[in-house]
Formats: sequence, structure tokens, C-alpha cells
Amino acid sequence: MSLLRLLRRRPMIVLGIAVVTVFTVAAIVAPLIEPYSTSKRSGASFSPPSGAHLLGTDDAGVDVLSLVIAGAQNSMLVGFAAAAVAVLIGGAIGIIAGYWGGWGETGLVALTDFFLVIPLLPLMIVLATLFGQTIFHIVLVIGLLSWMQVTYVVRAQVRTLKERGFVRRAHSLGASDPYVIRRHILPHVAPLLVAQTVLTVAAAVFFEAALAFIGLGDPARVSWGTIIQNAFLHTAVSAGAWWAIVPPGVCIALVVLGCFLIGQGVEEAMNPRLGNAHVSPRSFRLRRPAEAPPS
Amino acid sequence: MSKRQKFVLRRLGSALAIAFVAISFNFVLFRALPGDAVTNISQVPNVSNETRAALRAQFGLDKPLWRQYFAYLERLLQGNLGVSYQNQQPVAGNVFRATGNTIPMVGLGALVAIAVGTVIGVSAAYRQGTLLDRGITETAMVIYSLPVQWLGLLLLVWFAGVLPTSGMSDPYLIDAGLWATLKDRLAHMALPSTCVALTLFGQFALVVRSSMLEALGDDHVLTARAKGYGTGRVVWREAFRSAMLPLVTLSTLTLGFVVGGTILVEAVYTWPGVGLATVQAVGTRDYPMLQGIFLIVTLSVVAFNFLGDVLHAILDPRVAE
Repeated sequence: MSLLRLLRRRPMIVLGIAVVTVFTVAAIVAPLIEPYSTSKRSGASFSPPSGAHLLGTDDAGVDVLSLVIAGAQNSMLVGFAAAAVAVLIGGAIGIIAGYWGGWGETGLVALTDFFLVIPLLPLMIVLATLFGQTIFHIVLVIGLLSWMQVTYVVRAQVRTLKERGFVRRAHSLGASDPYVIRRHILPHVAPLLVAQTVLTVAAAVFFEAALAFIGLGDPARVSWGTIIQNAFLHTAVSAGAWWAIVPPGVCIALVVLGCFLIGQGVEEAMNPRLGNAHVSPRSFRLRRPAEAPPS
Repeated sequence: MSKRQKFVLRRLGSALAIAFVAISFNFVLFRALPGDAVTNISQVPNVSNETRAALRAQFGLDKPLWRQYFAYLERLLQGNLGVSYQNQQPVAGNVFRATGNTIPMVGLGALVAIAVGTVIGVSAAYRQGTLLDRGITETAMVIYSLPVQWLGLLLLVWFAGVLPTSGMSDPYLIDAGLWATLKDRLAHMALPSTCVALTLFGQFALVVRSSMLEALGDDHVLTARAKGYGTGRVVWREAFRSAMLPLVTLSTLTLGFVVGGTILVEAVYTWPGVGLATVQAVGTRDYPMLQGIFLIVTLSVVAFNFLGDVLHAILDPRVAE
């Protein structure tokens, strides 16, 4: 399926890409578009939204809009970097386990299952406490514990690919394993990896906010998580300053939703069986499958 | 031995193996990483090497790693999780008390989430493709993508003054009757439990919806319909029964996480459970407490996973084959 056709058929993917792109661009050009400094007071404490401060100010009189833009930088950075770590690890393990099989696969599957069972947030908290609180360590902690889903999906795909005719033919013509993986397996797994990357970005942004809220964020940097933590610690609630609380949460939710839309869209496009064509219980008409364009 | 018994035994074996690995992992996590308890305690200026060595001997850190590991296992078998730095009390007792506080609050939230999620999921599946269905699935997805701690804060802003916003009971309520105590406890539970329910129900709604969609297309449902049974019977007694499996699995998985509490919710509402204990242990770098909590939380998840497997085998004999 060509990329253009995919996008035309699934407008939700386009919407998701648009949302994520807006935040990514904002994150990249953050220092240029922040209206005020994020380290200096630019108004009274907890002044409500106004023309001068579109989203008001926080407890220290810092402009919330500037904070949110600066926060985008670190939250998106953690999101993408952690997702890259997770997809590299998960993709590699998934391909190795699915392609070679045997006892190696059994071992890797057991490892994956083990980490799938362990409650993730507590483990991340433990590791972040032990590792320390720089942004590098936070990326590492989140990335090192988010690869399991990727492995799971990739391994399943590689296992079916391995038995397909073109792979067997390549083998019988004398192609080496690295060649087959590069030319035949990777291209077929790539869309899945993209979907998984995007979904992992969402999870990582979420986890970063959670860690920051518990006090395990990078103290030297502003992120959406630390803004929420700051609002909680510094009486934004009792001051009724909703403007200091709402914006970072909305940003997280939008990025997560955008990533969901992209990830789900790509996964559904790859596996049409996820769309359902069932007999309706009430009319007994065969429902149109989700694949068809909306009428 | 029946196939089902064999299946359960096999799952028990793997659960025990995972539990053992988790216990060992817990040791490695806290011991093999650079810096031990002593490097942290002895961060006061001018610590002599003798003090450091004495502390190390006291904690048993001068022994080889494998001896420490066996000592750790032995202590665990005796139910000894070490002593908390914060209050000098045994970690086991601390965790036990916190668990007792967590279970009612998160349990209530989880039960509400399961009930509401089921009803919503079934209605959405029954009206697949309608505005109601789309509304439900999209709302569930939006709520699912909200940060938990943020949702908690919003509830705080909205309900401050109406409902108690922190702690578990009113400290001024002394010697009140059973009814007043219960009412006070429920009022304190209202916000955190709502928050838990909100974060969980979406998952249940989506899972129930998709398994109901499949079940509604089954032949036996069509047969029931052809026999002229009413909507209620067809949906709940025919379709829902065969759609229950994923719901049961997800429920046991969720209940496994109940003991772990929802760390963020408890942090927002200073609910004195396992989650708040985690946050406090992190804040004070109370490693024994953190280690104890992590162990208990992990083991409870493993236990509930096993329970889920057993239930699955009872409800659906096919898994054993």
C-alpha cells in the first residue's frame, strides 16, 4: 500500500501526524517562541490569563505559556529518545527471537514475559531513584523498560514472514541471514516499528510526567511533568489557579492522543482483521467492514 | 490427572519461577548497582574509614555477594524485609499497614470501573457504529490519555470544599459511632476512588466492547435470537457469557495492581497507602522500604496473574489443550 493511499484512506492518521508535528516543531523552536523567560518573574503570582500572559502566571509569577513551550522541549525529547531506545532494543530482540527460533527464542520470550509481568511504574521509580535524576537517566530508565510490547509485536510478524514464500526462495537461492533480514524482513516490519515507535512516544511522555510528579524529574529542566508537580506542590489548587494546572495536562493528552491515532491507524492498516465486519444483533444485516471509506 | 489440572500445575510452576526471579532481581537491583547503603549513610563529612568498615560489617556488606544473597533469601523466608530508615520500624509491618489502607480505596474504584466499563462496553457493542458507540469509544480513549495525577488535581480544584481532599480520616473525629466513622471514611475515599475509577473504566469499556462485538456475531446468539428470546436475554445471557473471558483476565490483572496502589492517585490525595509510602521512600531515599514495597507489589502481580490463569482454565477448558 502506498503511503499516500494509506493517508487518504485513514484521515485519523493525518490528524495524529498534524498534532504530533505541531508539538514537535514547537519543541524544536521553543527558545524562539517563548514570550517570557522561564526562570524570571514576569508578573504577579497566580495572575489569571490576560492579554499580557495568555495562560496566566504560576506561583513564582512565571508565565505559564512560556513554561509549557519550554516543557514541550524536554517532554518531547524524553518521549522520542526513550522511544528510540525502546524500539531499538525491542526490534532487535523481536527479530532475533522470531528469526532464529530455538532455545534462544525461548529464553528471549521468557525475558520479555518477565518484564511484562513486573509492574512498570514501580520499577521505573526504583531505577530512577538508584540511577539519579538527569534527563539522560530518565530517558534510559523509560527506554529500557518500554521495549517489551515492541518485541512481542515484531516477533509475531517475523515468525510469519519467515515462512512466507519469498523468504524461503531467497534462502534457497543462497541468500545469507543478514541479507534476508535486511532485504526482506526489515522492510515488512518497518511499518510496525513506526507504529510502535509512535505508541512508545506516548507512553514515554506519560511516564516522564509520572516520574516528575513523584519528584524524580530532572530538577534543572522544565517539562510538562514538572509543571504539574510544581502546581501541586505550590498551592495552585488552593489558590484556585486552574490555569497553572490545565495547560500541561492538555498538552500531554493531545500528544498521547495524536500518537494513539497514528499508531492505531498504521496497525489497523497492516492488519485489516482488526476492523470488524460482524452481523448486527438487531438488524442481522452484514455490517460494512471498517476498511470501506465512510459514506 | 486431567488436562486442566496439568495446565494449572504448569502455570503454578511458571508463577513460582517468575516469583523467584523477581525476588533475585530485587536483590540485584539494590545490591549490585554502584553505591551501597553505607556510601549513602556515610555521606557526612569526616567519616573515618573505621566507621565505614564497621557500618559495612554491621550491614553484612563486607561478605561476598553470594553470601549476602543467601542471607537475603533466609531473611525473606522469615518474613524479614529489613528496617525502614524513616521510622526505624520493620518494613514488613509498614508495608502491611499501607496495603490495608490501599486495598479498600483502590478496590472500590476498580469495582466501580469494572461495573461501569462493562455496562458501557456492552451498550456500545450492541449499538455498534451509532453515535452512542462512537461517543463512548472516543470518550474512553480521551480519558485514557489524560495523565492520572493531572486528573486528580482537576478533581481537587472542582471539589475542594465539598469533599475532603487529603488523608484518610478526619483527625478531629474522635470516638464517633460506627456510622459516623464509616461516613467519614467514605467521604475521604470519594475523590481518590473516583480518580482510580476514571483512569480504569476506559480500558474495561474498550475490552468488553470488542469481545462483545465478536460474541454478538456467534452462531448461538443468532440461534437464541431466532428462537425469539428478548433482547436482555440474548445480550446478557447468551452473548455476554461468552464475551466474559477477556473481562475476567483484565479484571484479575487490574486487581493485581490494586496492591501496588495507584502511586500517583495516592500522592495527589495523600492517601496513606502503598503508593504514598513509595513516594515517601523515594523522597527520603529509604532503600529498605522501597525494596520491600517493590517486592510485595511484584509478588502480588505475579499471584494475581496466576489466579487469572486458573480462572481462565475454569471458565474456558479449551486453554488447557
